[in-house]
Amino acid sequence: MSSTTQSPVATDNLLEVKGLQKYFPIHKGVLSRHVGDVKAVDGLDFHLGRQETLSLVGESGCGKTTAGRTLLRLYDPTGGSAFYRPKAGDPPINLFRLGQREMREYRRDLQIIFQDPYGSLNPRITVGNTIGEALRVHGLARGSELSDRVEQLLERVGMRAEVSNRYPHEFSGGQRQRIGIARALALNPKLIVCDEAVSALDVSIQAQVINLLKDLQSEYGLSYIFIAHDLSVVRYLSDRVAVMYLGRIVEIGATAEIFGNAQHPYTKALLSAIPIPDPRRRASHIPLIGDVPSPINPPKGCHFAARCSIAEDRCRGEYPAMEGPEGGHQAACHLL
Amino acid sequence: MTERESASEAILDVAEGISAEPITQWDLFVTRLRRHRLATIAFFYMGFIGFVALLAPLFTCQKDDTFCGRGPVEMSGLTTVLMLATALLVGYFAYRSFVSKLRGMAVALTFVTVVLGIFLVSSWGLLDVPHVNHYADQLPDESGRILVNIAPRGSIPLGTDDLGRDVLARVIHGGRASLAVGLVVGALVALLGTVIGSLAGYYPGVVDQSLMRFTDLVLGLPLLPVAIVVGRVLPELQFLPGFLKQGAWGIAVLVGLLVWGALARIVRAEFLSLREKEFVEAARAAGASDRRIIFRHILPNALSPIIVQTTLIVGTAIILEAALSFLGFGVRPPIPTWGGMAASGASIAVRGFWWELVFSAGALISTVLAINFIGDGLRDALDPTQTIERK
Repeated sequence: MSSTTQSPVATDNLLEVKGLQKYFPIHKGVLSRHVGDVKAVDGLDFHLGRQETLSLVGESGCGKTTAGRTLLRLYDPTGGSAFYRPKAGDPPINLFRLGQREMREYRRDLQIIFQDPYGSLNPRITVGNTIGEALRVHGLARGSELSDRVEQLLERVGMRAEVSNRYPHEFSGGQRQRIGIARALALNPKLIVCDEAVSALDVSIQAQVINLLKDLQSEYGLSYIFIAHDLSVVRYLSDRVAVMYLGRIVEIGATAEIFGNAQHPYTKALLSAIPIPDPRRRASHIPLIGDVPSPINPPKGCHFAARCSIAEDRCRGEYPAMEGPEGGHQAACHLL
Repeated sequence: MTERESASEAILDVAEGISAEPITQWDLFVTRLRRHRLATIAFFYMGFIGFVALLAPLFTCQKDDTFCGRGPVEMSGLTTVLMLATALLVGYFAYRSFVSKLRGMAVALTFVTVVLGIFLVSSWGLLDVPHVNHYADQLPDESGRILVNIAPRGSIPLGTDDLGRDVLARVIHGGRASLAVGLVVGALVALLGTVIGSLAGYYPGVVDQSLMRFTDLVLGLPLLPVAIVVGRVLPELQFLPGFLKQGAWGIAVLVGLLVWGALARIVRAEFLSLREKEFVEAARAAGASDRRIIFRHILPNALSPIIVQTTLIVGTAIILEAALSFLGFGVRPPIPTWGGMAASGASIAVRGFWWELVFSAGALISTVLAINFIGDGLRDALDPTQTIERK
């Protein structure tokens, strides 16, 4: 896999996201008065290179799933921009500025694999029709051409072609996830958002699916945005990692940098929670006390300050800026 | 035994061993339905009632002079037995074709379509031209006297009423009005409830709010008083086509327009939950249009509650029509309806002539019960989380 680790932002990046915001409005009362927002994602900046895997990690509710879905316009973004270059050297297209109709064209390039292999397949539609749906919607194939393509995809993800006229309830979780992957592959996308794509699977099945994802990446030149909370999977799969906390990225950098040279106290605490399969090693666990603050009314200063062991007054007063080289290893902490 | 094990056992049951045939939702549905004994019997019963009502003119007018003449009905023992046997056979085949795996959906749909077609065509005459008296069938004796209030006996199995009309003939014909009301209301409710509920559930905000407030309004109307008032005014309205003013059609449409609210709410709730499902998001990510998402992804998954609720509403509608006819605001006499017969039967029952009341009310109650059992059975059979247990 390629590495864009320390280089400044390359101009031919697949995707450049600036200030991505997604607020969910809260309405109250008979007149549905707008009383506030859940600031699920509050200003993300990152880029994604070609054939690169960027992982978004963080605890539940930090906005990583929302970020992924907003990027694909499954949610309407509140603010920010996402510049997409179909091919290196193409002029960048702001995905957030496209109308629904124009966006349809780009949906071919941007696909998603879901967490729940049970909820992500329509129980009333055969596997073949599920996989072929996108091809049909975009008018790319029909008739025998369509079924050939579907069978090809099924075989590519390691399933028998004959299963295409069966229904989802006849398959196990791992098989369903493969079907979900085949569906995402159908349109030859350039970017796939893997939303906790392996979290719901057994460890052994996880390994198979992860290796499948890796193979597909090199075969089709895919880029992944890999949303996960399992750090060992993230370490194995990603080129770069972005650590999120309460709707913002607190640290981003190459996988080796994040895992070997974490800067932000939250990242350190997160990494210390990875279980080490060695009974003789003493765990140096950094416990996190308290809860994540409310995304409706986030604190003024550093979001992590209330739980941080080294926080100072300054941390509670103002939000720290990202420190570090543009496109390289960056962290948002006053005390670096 | 876990649910999964028993479910897969049921699958094997259907497929009779492991086969390459894909096991469809339909197969699972049929397996579950078969296990529901009451619903099975109810299906059978409704097939029977439907058949009898459908062919009512054939069974009850035997005189060779005119098909719809005023002649006496001679329901000999043999004719009765033959009629019942035919009806049972047809009911049985209807049921078999409905639940058998191989012929499955296609046969059932064909059957239902044919039955509905014949039924609607044949009932058109009845409902449209209410004063043809072929259902009145007054029974004269040898000397030509009209036999009124005859207790049930051999050739008059259910007796005669106070005008000397054969109660069996009238119960059979009364079923036509009830079933016609049931079918029309069912169709109307399924259409209105699904369309309004879908739109409200899929498009939040103004569309949802206005449609649901309108639904609240309709649900808030007191059913019987409104039906009575409108039913009263109906025949006076100049702009209405004739068939809506008289007979069961007008009542059916009226009732249908009053009772779709419950279904609309249920459909809306289903849409609200289904539109957040990941497979819907996947379809959206694939670039599917709203129409495609609604019709291909959401509606098929919301079908179970729609079917169940519609079935139950049909039962309610038949009761409501009977209530209106009982009160004299529904289908006008002399067209026989179960509600109307119960009313006139009640007035003579106090003098000891119980049969008209008992048989008309019995037909009504058993039919509505059967419909409710079918609704119950469908609910269980269509619920994928339902555990299948061998009894």
